[in-house]
Amino acid sequence: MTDTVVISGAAPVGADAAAPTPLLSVPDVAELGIVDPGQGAQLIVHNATAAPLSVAVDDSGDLSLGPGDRAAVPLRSTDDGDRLHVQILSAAPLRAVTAIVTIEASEEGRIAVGQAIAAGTP
Amino acid sequence: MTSVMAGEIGLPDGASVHVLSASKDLEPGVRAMLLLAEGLFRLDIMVIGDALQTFVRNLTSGELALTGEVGQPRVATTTLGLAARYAPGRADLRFAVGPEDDRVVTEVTIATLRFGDRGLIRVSAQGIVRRA
Repeated sequence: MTDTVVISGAAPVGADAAAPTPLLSVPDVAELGIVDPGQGAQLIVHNATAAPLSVAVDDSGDLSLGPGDRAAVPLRSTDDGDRLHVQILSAAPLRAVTAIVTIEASEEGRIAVGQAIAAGTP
Repeated sequence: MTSVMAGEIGLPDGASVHVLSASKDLEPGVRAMLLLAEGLFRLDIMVIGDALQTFVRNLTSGELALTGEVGQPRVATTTLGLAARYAPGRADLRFAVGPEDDRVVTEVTIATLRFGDRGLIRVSAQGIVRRA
């Protein structure tokens, strides 16, 4: 792993399930968006690679995401608020991404705050 | 508080890399464990002011070799949308542990966000663990 990037993002939580608000863009790996269609906030993970991605969700197991596919991962309700911790892994090309997303109160209403650490080979 | 997640990526040559990650919201001056690799190391962290202190506990019989930033020429930090209000930061750490014939190298990237209204700092980390 010789290439590492940290991406931080924050955006209002939208309600249109068909158009999640872009939150984090991880180069050459995935696009992450946020939406709350009414049943709680969800992170939308879009596989931007031409290979399958493994998405591991803290306390919830793993899912496989095909090239170009997207999946909705609900945030977990905790004592500290709604929160999500995921690992997105790819073998070819070699990529490892950790993303942490929470929902925060603000003057603009509920906003999602996310941070991703992405490591890989160029 | 989030637990340590452990993942693995298999490589074409049969080897593998292990991926550890965790995130915690800390008050300034509080030391907390962030990453743990059983039998290898434990990484603690503490934030005081603008300084990020890391503590690596070597759990092996070999020596701990510690270096500072990793991948400096390729490092980049991107801030999107409203995230600037949370003062995002980062730090990198590289170290090796284990006996001479079985060294393990770990590259850790630590990312921070500051929640001033709650007086907390979110510290997240990803560690890439591989045989030397």
